[in-house]
Amino acid sequence: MRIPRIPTLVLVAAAVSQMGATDCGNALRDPGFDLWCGDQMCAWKVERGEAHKVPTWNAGDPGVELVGSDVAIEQVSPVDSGDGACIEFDLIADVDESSQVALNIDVFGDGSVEHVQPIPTSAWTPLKFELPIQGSYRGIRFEITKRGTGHAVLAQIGAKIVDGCAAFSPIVPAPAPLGAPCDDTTGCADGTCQQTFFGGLCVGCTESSCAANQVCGASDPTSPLRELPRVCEPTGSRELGEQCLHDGECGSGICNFGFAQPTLEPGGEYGNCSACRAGDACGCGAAWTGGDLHGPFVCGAALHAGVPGSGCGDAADCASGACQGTARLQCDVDGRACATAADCPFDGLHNTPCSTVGIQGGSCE
Amino acid sequence: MRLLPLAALALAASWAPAHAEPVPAPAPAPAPAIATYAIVVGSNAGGPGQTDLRYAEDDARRVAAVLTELGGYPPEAVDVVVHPTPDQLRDRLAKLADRVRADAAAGRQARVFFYYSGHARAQGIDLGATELPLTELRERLFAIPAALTVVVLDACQSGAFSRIKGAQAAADFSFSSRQHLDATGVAVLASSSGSELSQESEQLKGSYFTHNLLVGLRGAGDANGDGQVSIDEAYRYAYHQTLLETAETAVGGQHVTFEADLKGHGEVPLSYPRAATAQIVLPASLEGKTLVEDRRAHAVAAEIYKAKGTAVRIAIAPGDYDVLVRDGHSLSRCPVTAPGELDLARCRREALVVETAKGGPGALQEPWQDPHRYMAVLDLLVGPEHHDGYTDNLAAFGYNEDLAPSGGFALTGLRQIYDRLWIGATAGWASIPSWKHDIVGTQNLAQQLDWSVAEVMATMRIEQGWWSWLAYFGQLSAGLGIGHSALEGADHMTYASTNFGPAFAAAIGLRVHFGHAGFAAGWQYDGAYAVKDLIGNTHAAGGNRLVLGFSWGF
Repeated sequence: MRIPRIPTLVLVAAAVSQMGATDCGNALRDPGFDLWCGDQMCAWKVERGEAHKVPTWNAGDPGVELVGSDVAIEQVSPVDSGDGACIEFDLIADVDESSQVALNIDVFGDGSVEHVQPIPTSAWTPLKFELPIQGSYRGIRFEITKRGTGHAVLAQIGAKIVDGCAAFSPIVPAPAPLGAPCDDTTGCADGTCQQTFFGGLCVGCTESSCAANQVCGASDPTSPLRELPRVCEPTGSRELGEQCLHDGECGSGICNFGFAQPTLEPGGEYGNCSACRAGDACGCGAAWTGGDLHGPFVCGAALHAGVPGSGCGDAADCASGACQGTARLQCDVDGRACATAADCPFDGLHNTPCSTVGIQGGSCE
Repeated sequence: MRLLPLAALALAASWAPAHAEPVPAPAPAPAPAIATYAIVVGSNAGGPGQTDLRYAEDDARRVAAVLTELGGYPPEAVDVVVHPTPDQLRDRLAKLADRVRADAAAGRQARVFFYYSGHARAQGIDLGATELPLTELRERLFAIPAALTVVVLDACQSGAFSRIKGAQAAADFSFSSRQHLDATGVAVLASSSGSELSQESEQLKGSYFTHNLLVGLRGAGDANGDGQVSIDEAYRYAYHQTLLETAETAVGGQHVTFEADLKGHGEVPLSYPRAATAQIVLPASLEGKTLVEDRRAHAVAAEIYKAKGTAVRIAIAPGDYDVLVRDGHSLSRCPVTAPGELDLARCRREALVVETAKGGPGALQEPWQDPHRYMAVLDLLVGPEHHDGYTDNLAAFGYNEDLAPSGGFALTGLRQIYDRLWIGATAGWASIPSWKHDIVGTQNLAQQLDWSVAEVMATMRIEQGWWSWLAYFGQLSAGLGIGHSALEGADHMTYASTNFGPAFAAAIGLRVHFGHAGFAAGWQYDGAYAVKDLIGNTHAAGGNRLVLGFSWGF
């Protein structure tokens, strides 16, 4: 029988709460555009236009040339208010007059750009500026845009947390999205700011705020920077293997937490919709891939006993040896659904892995 | 010793050249019927068991020069024979004898001057590995039917402190010379007495005897101020000066001998310094031990004691000279151009260092006496690397400099070209501290710049003594710098480049020397604009350096 390990609340909470999410104060990975995966930047994502690898002061120290009249590259950083409230930018660029290059600051990474920092025309001249950020925040999306047909090569955009930004007007983040930290200053764009052990968290519902035939469920993740949004969902709308907070979310009527208990704390345990509860005397178990990753719990797990139509999380659960459903991709760190690692919470400046574990919505053939 | 008979005067008078200006009495013009010939022999090579001499051949050349400049000998009549074999010397003597016989047949009188400087043994002169017996030399000289024959022998061998001529101390060379060459119409000047050795001087770059003989012939020996130097005056001057200068050497005092058997009356002039094309006139007010140094050759041209009250003319080749005058404990250096008169107002005083172990009483010493004219210097350099726009750019790109200093070496070859001035060339190499840039967000992934610079430069050094073994120096170098950089990128590829640019170095320091070896310590600031990046920055590789050097003089 596959026995799940007991998750450690504190460890998981610390991992997903992003406390101290920098690399020795650096908020950006590969600020010098030195890491290239083939012709693509490894740490930066091209949103629009083209970005080419070009030499800078030395052929071995490349920069990125923004090619085209509408180009944007971005990197999401897990830096948060726990790291500091002042970010210092170092910049070296070769930008001619017919290019308009800007650094956009999108606090929370929710698409709302709070600050646009124009990058002046320069010829490899080092620039430095500081930006204070007000209130609680978690995560910043750094976006560099270029408009115009001119030449623009960026070589170094360092973002570092420093102590104190004197005499600058702070960036006021837009109200926090669901799943983001909040406080009295920031507020929440939707829902309410619910106080937890780790501080305020914007949630879309409470236990009593949902209509009939709805339940305040975990819902799907919206950003690696944020917790699950927790919104009202139709009762029984979740398949086997999906994350849940209440039995009512699951079509099976069981939200299994293993040996843990449900919690609303940020980074706290989520269950997953299962056919039985851990410890049930039916051979209740789950597909297990190591660590804390597991698929939905089913009776007679891995015993090849499941009759056709019965719930399964793995082919070994079925007498037929075939479990029909979709592969369950979820983040190693907290079990949230993911497509790639870019959807998973950060460990330092890196996203944690996204792994396949079990089958979601499976039934034995 | 027999002195010059007065009977030789009439014959001697006929030596004066036509352009001579006798002072105070007019010198007679040479009779056209007199033919003059000289054979001047120099041989540095030592025979079996003998060390090669350093200056015998140079002495011969100097004697020939004085004979033509001041002695009335036409250049074509002076046969300079350097490092001959016995057969070659026999051949020269035989040809000379034929010419003199031909002159005699034509009714012309002839006079012959024979000079030899080199090694000798008791029975002969050493011409390299082969000896020419003295008896044969005597017979061949006697066989020349000249009216007057002057023989000057300076035969020496090197010794422990000064160079010593005459390989065997027991050899009574000058006695032997006198015994066999005493004859009518023959005068012999020998560099030392029969029981003495003759010596060379490193400082004079010649033998004591020949040096003093030539200084006397250039005018210092003109005791009666008549504008010409007789053989008697030359002997007296050479005798006293050589004895003075050799008295405290390790070998001991050297007595010049003179033997003559001449018929006639009056003196026999050997040179006419008054008639020289260039002279240095030492003013009447000057007093002290005086040394005339050829500034270009860095060699002593004359050395006399100048008494107060009478001007002295030193016949000398045209050119620039320094006259060093020692008076008591002071030393004055006076620049003068020949022909010309010494201007005491242009003299500047210098510190005086007297070496007591050699050189003899009254010998002038430079404050800093490094006898070597060539020097090889190996310097080790260490110091912080200079920061400039290039390194500022590296810092802006996120690179951090290693804590280690720059370090390297330089090899310099120098040649002394004038007094305190040395010139040469320097080749050097230095490693520059690496700059490293950790890639943020990665583990153990970094970019590192390793670089170095090489330099090839022309070098000029001025070195001035503080003490006999300690000097301070300043040195300037300029030339080509070759910068090499290699960046190991995040992709683990190495991007190397080499650039060229101007380089310079300026240094000051102290140097001590003990014999050939020397040690120096100092400070240097250097830069080689030879490391360039792709965005227009150039690094002047270098900076402040502590220099520790080892030198070798030769």
